[in-house]
Amino acid sequence: MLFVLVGCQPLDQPRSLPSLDEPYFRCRVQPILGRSCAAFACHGDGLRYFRVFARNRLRMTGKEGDRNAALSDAERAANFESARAMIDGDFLLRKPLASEVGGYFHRGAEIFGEGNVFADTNDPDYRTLAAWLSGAKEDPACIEPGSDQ
Amino acid sequence: MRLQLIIAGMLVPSAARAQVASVDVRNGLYQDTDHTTINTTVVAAKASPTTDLKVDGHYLVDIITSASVDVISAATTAFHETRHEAAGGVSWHGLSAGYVYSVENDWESHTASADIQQDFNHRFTLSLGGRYVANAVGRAKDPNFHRSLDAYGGDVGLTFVLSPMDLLHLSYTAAYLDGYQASPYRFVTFDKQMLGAPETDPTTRLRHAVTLRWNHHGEGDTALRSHVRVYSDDWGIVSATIGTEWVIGMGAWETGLHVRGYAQNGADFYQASYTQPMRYMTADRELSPFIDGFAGARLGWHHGTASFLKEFRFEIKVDGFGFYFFDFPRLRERAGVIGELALGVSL
Amino acid sequence: MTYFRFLLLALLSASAGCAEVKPWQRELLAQPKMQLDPDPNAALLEQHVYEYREGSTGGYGAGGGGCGCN
Repeated sequence: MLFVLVGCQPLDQPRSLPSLDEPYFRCRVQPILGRSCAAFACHGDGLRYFRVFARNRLRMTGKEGDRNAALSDAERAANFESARAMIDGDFLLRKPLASEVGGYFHRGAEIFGEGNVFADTNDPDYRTLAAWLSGAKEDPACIEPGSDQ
Repeated sequence: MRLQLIIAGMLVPSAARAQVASVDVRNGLYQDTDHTTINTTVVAAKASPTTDLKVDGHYLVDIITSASVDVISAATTAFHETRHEAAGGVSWHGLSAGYVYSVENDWESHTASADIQQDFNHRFTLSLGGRYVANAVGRAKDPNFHRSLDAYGGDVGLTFVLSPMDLLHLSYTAAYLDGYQASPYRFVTFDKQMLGAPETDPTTRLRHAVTLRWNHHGEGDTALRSHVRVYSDDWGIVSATIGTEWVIGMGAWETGLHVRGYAQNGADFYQASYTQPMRYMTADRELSPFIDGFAGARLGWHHGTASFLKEFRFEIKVDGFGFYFFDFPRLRERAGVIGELALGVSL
Repeated sequence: MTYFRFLLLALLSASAGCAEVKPWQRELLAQPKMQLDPDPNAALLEQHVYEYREGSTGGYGAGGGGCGCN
């Protein structure tokens, strides 16, 4: 009694996310996320789907006295995967962008009443995020701001 | 003088015309343990300007307040929403057509439908219907989020008169959906610590349902109304629905006791938590495996009069329900009640 | 294929069981409680609840409008 229509491909197939440059993320994108997104009331909240680890903000483990320590490899990897997962629906670029120039509704902009993170697409930080998503690369030996390097 | 008689004749309903009209109001209140309340009111009217022509229309409003796990999981507060729906239809000699407009803050929908019925020698009736729905999908407070979803549906039904006390109806319904079918508010979770991603559903869906309905008139003024439905789609959902209502007439009063059960498996691409990014991922519990049951009773009263208002009627109905989700950790069970009150008059 | 055989069998069985019921024998069948949808408004609300809350749809008529009920 089953109606089984076999589609062209099974629906439960893995998918590979785009290959994005990790050094560029570590040295250029992550600092933006840390200073613009990682407040405890924003994406430094463990309940969020898009969570950002940053110094003096949300951490994976450790004692309170270590909150200002440099990010661990696991936290860097988690930030990278979180940002990359938000590519679907252009969330990473359009959520922090003002709605007047095509951004999505961003509750943070509403509740804090200070406008969205990026007022327009000429913002240098917006252009850095966009460059990363377009495949920009960085020297693997770059020094991560805020690290102990 | 002749002109005055002609005008008088047009104003006085002729014996060949039927002037039957009715107005009904029904209000329902839904409340469940997942912190969702829905108040629905529908006002419907129908009329038969002639014996062959029927027109009908309704206005419906849903007022929804929810702090469901879907909402809380996205780290937002409870939401309040109102949906408005207006519909009109006409039927003539077995042909009918209808239109429904529905709008809420993040969704707008236009539905057009047409049906035809033909009786064959008083032994069975064949019905054919088609439906098209055009949906514009948005996101609350987000003027820059625009998606569309089109749905095409058709159904064929056969109604058999098995005996002076038995009616059997068999129908097949198919629907094809094309467009955005995910939720812009839902995110999936991963086993890997601290990772989430937006939900992505397939953009097409082909749905089938076969339904068998049997109405049996019992001893005295009673009837048993039963149904069974088997459903499947190309997302991998297979479900079965079974239900029955025992109706007892007691003069102007009528009562009904009903029970309904439902079971479905999960969609092929559903996982409670994902281990890696998948082509399609969903956090929709309605695409997970679950069972549910509804049971309730109704009591109705109607009173006919010889005056301008031919009939008064009212009905009160109460249902209790329970859901059990086999693979949705955020909400294992959900229970609730639905209460309805209806009033109507025929003119 | 198995499904369509079942459908055909159900159809043949149902049509074979049809009795020729004369119009004067249809008094009971004409009662509202014997109609498929005696109360379209009640059916509208009922099917609305089921379609809001379940992964299946169709088979019972009672067409309402589209909604973001997903």
